[in-house]
Formats: sequence, C-alpha cells, structure tokens
Amino acid sequence: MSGKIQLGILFGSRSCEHEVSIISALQLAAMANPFKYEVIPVYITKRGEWFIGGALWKLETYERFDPRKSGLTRVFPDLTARSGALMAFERSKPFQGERRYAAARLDCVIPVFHGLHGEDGSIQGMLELMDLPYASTGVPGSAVGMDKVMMKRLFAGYGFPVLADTSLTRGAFEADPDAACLRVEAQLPYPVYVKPANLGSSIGVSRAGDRAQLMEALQLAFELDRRVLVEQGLDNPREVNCAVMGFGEEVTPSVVEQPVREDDLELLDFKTKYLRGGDDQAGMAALSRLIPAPISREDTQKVQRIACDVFRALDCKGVVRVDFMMDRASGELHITEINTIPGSLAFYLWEKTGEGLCYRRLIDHMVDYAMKAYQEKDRNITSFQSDIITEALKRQASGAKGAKA
Amino acid sequence: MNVLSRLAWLVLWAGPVIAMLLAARQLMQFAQLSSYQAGGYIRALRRLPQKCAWPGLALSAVAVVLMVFGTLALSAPPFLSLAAALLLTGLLLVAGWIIGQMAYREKTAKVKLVMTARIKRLYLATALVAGLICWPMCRAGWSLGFAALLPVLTPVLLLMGLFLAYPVEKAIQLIYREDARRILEGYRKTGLDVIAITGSYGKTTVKNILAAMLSQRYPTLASPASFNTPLGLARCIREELGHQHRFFIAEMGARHPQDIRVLCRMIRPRAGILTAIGPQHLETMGSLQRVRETKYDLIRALPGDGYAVFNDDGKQVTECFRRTTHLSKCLAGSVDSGAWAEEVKFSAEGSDFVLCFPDGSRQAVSTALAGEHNVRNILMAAAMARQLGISPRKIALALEEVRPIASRLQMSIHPRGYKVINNGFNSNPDSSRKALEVLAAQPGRLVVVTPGFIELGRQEAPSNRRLGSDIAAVAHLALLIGEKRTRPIREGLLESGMPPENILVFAGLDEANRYIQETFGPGDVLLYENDLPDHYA
Repeated sequence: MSGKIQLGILFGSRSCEHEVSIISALQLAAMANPFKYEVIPVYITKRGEWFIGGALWKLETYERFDPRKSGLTRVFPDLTARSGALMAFERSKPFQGERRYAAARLDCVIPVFHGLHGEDGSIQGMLELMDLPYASTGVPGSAVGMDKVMMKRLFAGYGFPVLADTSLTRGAFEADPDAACLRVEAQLPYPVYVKPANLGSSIGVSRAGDRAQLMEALQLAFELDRRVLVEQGLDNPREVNCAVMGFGEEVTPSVVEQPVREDDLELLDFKTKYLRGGDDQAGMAALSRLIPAPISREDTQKVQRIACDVFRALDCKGVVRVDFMMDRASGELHITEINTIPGSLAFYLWEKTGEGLCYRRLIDHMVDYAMKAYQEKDRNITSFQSDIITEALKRQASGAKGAKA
Repeated sequence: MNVLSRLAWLVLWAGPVIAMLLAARQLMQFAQLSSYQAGGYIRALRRLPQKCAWPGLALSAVAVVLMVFGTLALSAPPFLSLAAALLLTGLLLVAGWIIGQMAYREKTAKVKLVMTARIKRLYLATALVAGLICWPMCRAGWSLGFAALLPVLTPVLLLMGLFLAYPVEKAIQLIYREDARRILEGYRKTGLDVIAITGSYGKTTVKNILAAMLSQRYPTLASPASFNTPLGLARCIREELGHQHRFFIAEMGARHPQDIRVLCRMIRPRAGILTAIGPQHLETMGSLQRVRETKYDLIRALPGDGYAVFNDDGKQVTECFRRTTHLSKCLAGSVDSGAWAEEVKFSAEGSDFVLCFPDGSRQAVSTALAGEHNVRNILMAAAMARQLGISPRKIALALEEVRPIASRLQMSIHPRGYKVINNGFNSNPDSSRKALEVLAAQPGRLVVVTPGFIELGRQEAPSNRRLGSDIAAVAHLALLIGEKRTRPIREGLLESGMPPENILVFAGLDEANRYIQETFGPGDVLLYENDLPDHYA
C-alpha cells in the first residue's frame, strides 16, 4: 500500500454537458501531482454505468465509448460509510459464481461534473452517504446552485443584486400559453431571457424581444425542463466572472475575467462557450477572454466581495465561479448565476491571480479543503447512544398480554 | 549411446514438429474461421489447396536440407552434436516462424487469428498427433528424413488434431453452457426478461434497434453480433451479464439444424423475434425447409405466457406466424398487428414515417436507417418494445440514436468524392436485392462491386446468376472480384443486357480498389456487395 492519497476524479454522468466534463476531468487528472496522489479517473457514462481503468486517460476512448474495450473495468460504488470501495464483479471458473473485489479504493474525491447528476448535489449526496471527503460544494449549495429559480430567490433573500424575474411551470404553460405570456409581460418589460431552471451552461437559454419570440423560447425551454425562469434582459451588458475558492472562513477570490463574445451572438451559447477552438482541447480556457476584465479597481473589488459573499451564503467548498452582468452605462452589477463546478475548474483564472497559482497547486488546495471539511464533519456528533429499542422491547414484553405496544 | 547424442537425436526429431506448428498459422486461421468444424475446414482445404499446402511443403524443403546436416552432426562428438542439433533446430524454428508469417498476413486478414484458449488447445492437439506419429519412428531410430517430411502432412495432421480435440471441446462447451444456464436462471428469479432474435438476416440490426429502445427504460444487455453461437452466448452471459440488467437480448445464429434448439435450452427466452427465412448456410443446412424448421425452433421453445413477433414478409415467416397458436403473437408490418408504418418517406439521410400501434397510438419517427427492409426491422423491434412496456415516445427517441451497423448498407463519402454504400457483411440474395433497391434510389452513375455469394451450396451458381441480372437492371457498371468465382454473375449480367465493356473483372479486392480510386469521383455511387471471409478468397 503506497502512502499516496487515492484521489478519485469523478466525471461524465447523465448530463447535457457530459463531454465538457470529460475534457475538464482529463485536464485535471493530468495536472494532479503524481508524487502525492494516485489519481483514479472514474467515468460515469450517459447511462449511469461506472468505469475505471487505464483507457480512461485517453481522449479517444470517449469518442465512441465501448464498454468492451480493454483497459476498462465496470465498477459499482460501495455505499457503506467510509468504505470508499469501487466494487467489480468477475467470473472465472465455471460453477463458482461471481467473484467480487474492490477494484479501487478512494480516499478523496474531486467531482468534475457539469450540469445535472453531478453538479446538482446528487453525487455530493452519494459522497456524504459514502462518508468520503470531496472537493466540491455540499448538497444544499450544489442543489440551489443548479436550480436557477431557487438560486434567484435565495440571492434576493440575502439582498444580493439580481435582475427582476418570474418563473413558470410546464403545466401552467401547456394549459394556457397565452396567459403565461401575459403574466410574464405584466411583470417584465422586453427584452427578457428565458432559462430552463435546471440546466447548467447555456443550453435552452434564449432571448426574447417580443411575444412571438417569447412563445418560441418558452416552448424550447419547456422541452428541456419542467420549470423555467424568465429574467429581465439588459441592453448590451458586460459579462464578468470571478472564481472563488476555499472552505468555511477561508475564502479567496480570483482575478476577474470578461468573456469576449462575437458581435453577432447575443448570448454565449453552448457552442461558443465550449466548442470554439476545440483543436487544443483546452475547453473553457480556449474561449477568448480578457483577464483581468477591463473594469475599474473599485468594480473589481466589488465583484470579488460579492462573489465571496455568495460563496459563504451557499456554504461552498472547493472552487466555484460566480458570473455577473454589468450595466455598461450605470456600472450596476447583477449576479447571473453560480457554477459550483466551473468549466476547467477556472484554473486559467487562478494562474493569473496574485502571484499565480498553478493548476497543480490548485488541486492540492482543493484536496486540502475537502479534508478540512471532512474533519469538521467528523467533529459533529451524528450518533447517540439510545435506549429506545430496549425500552420498546420492554414495553412490548410487559404489554404482550394486554394491548400491543 | 551417449546421453548427449541421444538428446541431440530427440531435439532434431522435435524440431520439425514444433516448426510445423509455427508455420501452420494460415491453416489455424481457417480452422478458427470454420468454427473448428471438420467439414468447413475440409471445404476450405479444397477451395484453396495451394494456400493450404505450400507452407508445409516449403518447411519440409528447408527441413530436409537441415536434417542432412543434422545426420552428419550426429556422428560428431556428443557435445558438439548436441550443440549442432540445437543450432539446426533453432534455424528450423525460425524458418517455420517466417513461413507462418508469410502464409498468414496479419495486416490483410479480415478476421484475425485470435489466440483463444481453444486455438491453443488445437495447437496442443495437433502437436500431440504429430508427436504420436513421430515417437515410434524416433524410438526405432529411423532416418531424420522422415521427420523432415512430416510438415508436408500439416493440413492432415491439423484435421486429426481437430478430431482429437473434439471430445474435449464438447465437454468444455457443456460445462460453460450449463454454467451460463444457471447464471441466467439466477437472474431470472430477480426479474431478468430474456428476448431472443433469430432469422437468416436482419437479426443484428433488429437486436441493436430493440436494445436502444429497451435501454430507454431499463439497463439492457444485447449479445455482440459475433457471439451468436452457444459458446459465444455463454461467454457473453458469463462475462457481461450482471445484476443491473433487466433485459437480455440474445441473437441466435444457426449454421446447423440443431443449433437453435441447443441455444434455447440454454437461454430459455420468454419472447422471440423471427426476422427472415432465406437460403443462407445451405451448405450445412441442406434445404430451405430445414432452415425454416430450425428458425421456428425458437418459437417452439417460447412458453405459453411468452410473446412472439414475426416479420410480415408475405412468405415463409408469415407462414410461420399463421401456424403459431400456443402463445400471444403479432405480425410486425401488417396493419392492426404489433406495429406498422404509414406515410413512409425515404431521404438521403435515412427514413421518416409514422409508427402505428394496435392500441391506436401514432408516433412520428425519424431515423438514419435507410431502406424499406430497415423500416421492417424497426417495426419488429417496435412491436416487441411496445409489448415490453416502452412508450411510443421513448421508441421514437431511441430511433434517433440508432446508427447503421458498419458494412450493412452503411453510406459514406470517400475522400475522392464518390459515395460508398457498404453491404459487405456476409450477404445473401434477399439482402442484396434490398441493397440494390437502395442503390437504385441514388442519383448518379451506379456501380456494383461484388465477388458474389458463398456458402449457398448447390444454390450458389443460380443465385449468383440471378444476382447478375438484378445488377444489370440497376447499375451502369459491374466490378467483379475473382474470375472463376464470378462467372455465373457475368453470365447473368450479359443475359440481362449489360454490355460486356461495362463488366470489369479483377483478381482481388485490392486490385479493384486501386482501379476504383483512380477512376471514380463525385457523382458516382458504389455499392460494395458482400465481402468474402479469408477462407474463401
């Protein structure tokens, strides 16, 4: 047994951003310090099958994923608290049944998922059950961060600056689409942005300038989700993003970036965000962006301060990225959303923050935060000595002749 | 005799036996390709006598020369003679290895020789046969020349090896089949549903479509295409089937009349699909009647609470549907039974149609699968999926995901600009007619590249002749592979009025491909019809 930390990199999963997650994860796996960690990539397919194995390090494996390919082992997570085992099953000789063995054992996990079934608290919930240290925001923070409707309510409740919005459900829309549109129009002036509540990235997000566009946008969004957020649009806003890392009281903001969009695109859609400049496979980092964002020092500090507040409000952990929209005229800031697992883990921002933090060190920090959070959790008392069963048995015995306990 | 010179003697005798095994790679591949059946192996020997004989002859020639030196070396002092014997044997082994590599080229082989446990056992059995023959001669002190001539007999020795290994293989198969049966039995108790698919063709496509549909609901395992024999399916069940699977789709192939019965005893399917009955494997099956009865064995094996889907082909399969009374059934493709299609439209990207079910539900679907026969394949899968509780919407979603299988009417554009339709996978008269239909629907200059059909026994010549006239009705140009083998196609082409200058004959696929790349470009459409397995070409 080596003294290295068995570091599981979980990625893929049943999400629209499955492929982006693969690229983010392979980047991270390649950058982790091999002297400190035994890196174990754990791939979850679009059907929810789990795999480990050497083939996962190669990008080619994912082009047409074939579970029969050599260098892949199908595994099943053992949910027993603190086991951390990924079980595999194998048949060798006839009539001897299945042999089960732990194909890997994880000490710590970095979840590198984007979107549903990974960034939304579901995997985090599983890791809490397994009682493993993990380097991402916990269950409630992840869940709220994924659900745009709840996120906005929570931000508004904290008094963070957000744009006016309203939300609709599929049932209400399908029952009477015109009434739904009227409701939106009564609350918000055009243009508005229509966003499915539960999808990360920019999939299904569209801008509507009039009734016809709104109808079309809602139809698209309701194909993707049951709940939809409609948000006040800004004219020609400046987008700025700021990453934050830490845990508990220790919170550090990164340099602020401004993503650059092509003039003809009204919004950073999925394609431009992730597929542009795909040759170098640098994912998010390949997108043209301005680092640091060309905004005043005061604005930068304000962005960083709010980003840190958001981090604390959602009790985040590891690395997150908070996205803002800034009114070019008034300089007013609005939080767009929080990504609890940002693309490429925003390493390109940390590289340019302060004296520069290389990806390898960033991973070290993430593991440290995971361990720290785990120790904190360990301090909580979760089990009590209880006599309830004994008492119940006693009552049962004494009441056996009479009424049942 | 000194111990050392005795050892030298033994080494010299063992050399040709081992070298022979090294040189026999091509023959081993043939044995593997004919599923280790003596009949198929002998047919391969008769088809390609030179290819089978030359490695043995060449090795013997080398061995004779080396053994002359060997005999001389034996009269040297013991230590020296052993050293010489080792050297000579080493040389012989190298020669054997080189001959083996030359005879069987890994790069050009379509189906590679795989070093399975079974082929290793065949090597061992062949070595045993050769050893048993050599041993008395070696003991009696016969001349080394006899040892040197042994490799000439390689094809025969390998055949004897096949016979020797046969009872062992049978026993091993029985054990694995029984193990697989028990595993399935175990999973069945916790709700695994087993669906079997058989038919002369279309079964792999139907299996893939059905797997996509069932996966929409529950984890589904479909057996890989090449695993449709008892041993292949046993392996799939043992290695891939797991507790997570709720559906298991088994593709069943039949080369011999008893095959499906054996498979059904092991798999015990609850539901079955019969895709087609056509003249395939007539060499081993005998007659079309036998093919039909063999395929129908699947339906016979289904339980009373099971479900059977038949393809409405208006011929043999429809006939089978009519005579089935012991369980629920449907005739996919006929209105009001199972599933049928309306408003079918074919395009360059595939096909669109409305999928209709007897319960009145209608679902518009769009798929990349091309051709009328694929619509039939979809209908069979959809009828079964619907029966197993998949909603029409999910069925449509699954169809958007399904891609054509490689070499089965797969369309692509060659870098030189011409369009390629690949129907190269062990084709048969019915599937080639369908491929020609797809070709006929294409614009441009239409070309067919084919070596004709194989494994059709007595039907082979007439079927190929018919293929010729079918091609003449559709294509502008025919490229035939192999002069002797394609003579009936040529006759068919000429009879149906294709001008002789539009028929080009090539010795092999490589030559044809070279010509194709030089000649064709944008606007040309090439149909590759049937690709020959290595033990036929």
